[in-house]
Amino acid sequence: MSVATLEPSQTTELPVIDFVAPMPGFPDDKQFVLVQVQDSEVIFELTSKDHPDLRFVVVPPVALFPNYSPEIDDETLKSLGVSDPNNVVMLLVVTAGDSIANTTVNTAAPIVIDQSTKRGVQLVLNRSDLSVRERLSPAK
Amino acid sequence: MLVLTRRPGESVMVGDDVVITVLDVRGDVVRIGIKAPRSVQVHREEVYKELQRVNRESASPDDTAVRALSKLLRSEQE
Repeated sequence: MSVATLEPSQTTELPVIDFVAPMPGFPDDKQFVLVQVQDSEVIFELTSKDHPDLRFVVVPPVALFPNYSPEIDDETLKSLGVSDPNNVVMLLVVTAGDSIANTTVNTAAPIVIDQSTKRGVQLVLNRSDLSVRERLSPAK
Repeated sequence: MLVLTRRPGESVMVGDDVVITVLDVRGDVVRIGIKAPRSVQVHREEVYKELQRVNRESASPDDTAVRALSKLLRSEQE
């Protein structure tokens, strides 16, 4: 399935995303506010409603991995209440290191969000060619 | 830990709605089927723990790292 591009304009109203299952490691945080990082067009932050000092930096895959479009299983689409695949966006969780060389991105478990139902989940793809710690190659 | 002996085709119930079935045993490999409601996430343990670890490392990075990333992505787009 194809995945829509996340338009900056769609995030100005600060959507609250309900996670249908919590992110592994954070069982108590089910609602996150999606905001665009100041002066960046491609970096977003998911900030927990329950613990405002908990946030994740996320990026749309297209910025880093133009060919990234993993299959999303029907169960996941159902749990997010997806009626139109064009409403689905994916975001990759960034593990920011002290330098770009030490910064990795989780391609094995993207966050999948339905923009109309505002439901999301961190989807474990179970694919051996993807990594929870994918390095960024600066010279692409 | 509760230990039960099961044969292929036999199941174990966990709570009211999780059913774990032994499908097939070959040598030291056991295939199991798990039926669970959508709210129950099922993962291989090592995959789940690795994801837990990386999520904890990702949580709340400092602004310097985020700025560096922002700069990198901007320069790539130009």
